[in-house]
Amino acid sequence: MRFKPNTLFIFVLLSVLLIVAIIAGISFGSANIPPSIVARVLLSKVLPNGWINTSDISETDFVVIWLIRTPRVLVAAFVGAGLAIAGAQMQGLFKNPLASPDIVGTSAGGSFGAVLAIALGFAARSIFYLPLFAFIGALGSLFIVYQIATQRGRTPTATLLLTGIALSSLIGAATSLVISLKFYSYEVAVQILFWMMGGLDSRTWIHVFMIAPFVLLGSAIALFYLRELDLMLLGEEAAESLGVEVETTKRIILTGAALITGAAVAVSGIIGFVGLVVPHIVRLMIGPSHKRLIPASAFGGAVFLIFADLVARTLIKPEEIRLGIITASIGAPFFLYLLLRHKKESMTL
Amino acid sequence: MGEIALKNVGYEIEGRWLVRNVNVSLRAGNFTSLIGPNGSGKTTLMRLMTGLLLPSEGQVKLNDKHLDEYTRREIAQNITFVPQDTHIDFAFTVKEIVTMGRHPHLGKFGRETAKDTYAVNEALERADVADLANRYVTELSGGERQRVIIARSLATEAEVLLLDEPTANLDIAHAIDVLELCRKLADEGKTVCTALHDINASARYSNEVILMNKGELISQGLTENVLKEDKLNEVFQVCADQTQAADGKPIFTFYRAGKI
Repeated sequence: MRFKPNTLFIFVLLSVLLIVAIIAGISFGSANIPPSIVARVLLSKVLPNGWINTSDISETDFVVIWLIRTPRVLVAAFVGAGLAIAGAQMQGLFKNPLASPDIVGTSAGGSFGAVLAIALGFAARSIFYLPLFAFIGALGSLFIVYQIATQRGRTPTATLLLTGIALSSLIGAATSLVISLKFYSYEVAVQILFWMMGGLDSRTWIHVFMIAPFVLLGSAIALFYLRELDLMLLGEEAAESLGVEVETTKRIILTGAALITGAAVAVSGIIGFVGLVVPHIVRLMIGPSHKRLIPASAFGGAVFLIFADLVARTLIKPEEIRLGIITASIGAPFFLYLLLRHKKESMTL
Repeated sequence: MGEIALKNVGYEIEGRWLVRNVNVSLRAGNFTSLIGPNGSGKTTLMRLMTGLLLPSEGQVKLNDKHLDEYTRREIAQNITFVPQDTHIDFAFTVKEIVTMGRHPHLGKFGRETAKDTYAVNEALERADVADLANRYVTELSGGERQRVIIARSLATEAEVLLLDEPTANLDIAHAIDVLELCRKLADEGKTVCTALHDINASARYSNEVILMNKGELISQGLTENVLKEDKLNEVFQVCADQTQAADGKPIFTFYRAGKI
């Protein structure tokens, strides 16, 4: 059912959910910390010095909250929000509710970059190399896909989609080759496989600062093209005849989404289903207009990934489950449930 | 205002000319119908008129200025186009769709003003979809959706309206409504051009006809001068038999050539 509460209500609700998710994400873990302490530590960092008395909070709690869990939760929030925004944009651009941010080869390219960084030993030298390689791989593959799919200054979305699929499997093969050549080294193979399953273990403030600028920049671009995306859903010809510079818009939106996806892959590995499921669910609830869809997806993606990461950390603690496994196993059934229910109500997307 | 002129226009794709050597003009106050067999270049011609396609040769002018000197947005303020395919997969409401017609007039982050709301309501009324305003466009019948897209075009308040077979999905009553609306808009001083398959509709409602065949212009002129039995017979490969309706308008009955 699509309900139409006013926009303010939706965003107040989503903001509250996000705050709850952040506090829950920091409170629970291998050792639980009361949410009240978490809230006080966070407030003491945000508000001016001395406003919040934290003298009774132990040094250990402080370190766990501020240096270990907060950055991890923030990385989850940025990755989740970013992937959901990029997913919503791709679904709009391709007029296909089943499109996801990696549809133009960004994830495959990112993986290849990361696997190279691990296999060639760069990743062991500095924590900056792996994200850098992944980011370059992601943007590089979009560039190649776009160049191949563009003819006479036009880039038909169907061609773009097929080129993306073809190039993704080609890059996938190259990735497999690198992995298979390195398989004699148990360490390297495990590191690669773990990375490809996606995860936020031992993410620090450095990672927050690596992803935040790209997600913020990508979001700004997204916000600048909300109305154009609505019009693109009517078909490119209709959009163009209503004054949208279709090819320019496409290029800018693809670039913005690739910046986000590339940065997300770089800091968290491959995390599936967020970019596909979150915007889809949000669209079913509040309708296809991007003015609401994009911001609501951002909140929804952040909340979803924070909770997914919480489950990944706590389900069989002290062991961690890889985050990509959790997002897919929550995302896929929920998606199927929506799809079937939606069929029953015979409501269209 | 609202004048479109094509001079020696041709459009070629991979060595094949979809239209060639076309010289036509559309003027304010005229309801021009564009007729011709399938594949005669009607849709291509309309796309060239809106700048959706760039001519391979010749020039398209809007109000005496080359179309490529206008931005997309400026073109959209002056020319509106109702494409043949009006399918929409996403559950926008009718009102949201029609409001999108205001896009060429809105600033990047500008909100809709009273003027926009007025234009939208007016468009909803005139296309007879005001009672559908809050329905999802995905739940509408083909004919209802067609009228919604026409409303979206009206909401642009453009001087030139180009419609590609707008009556194709409509029942007879709504087809008449749309044709009468086109007539009325032309009488109010707009430039209206509609691709039509129904020659009798063309004869009844339009005052000017552009007749195309195999990518070439056969003739442009007053309806009564272009819709002649001999021309129709030649272009459509039929035998046309012209009679008169009670109000004096011509009616054509067609027989397949060689089978009479």
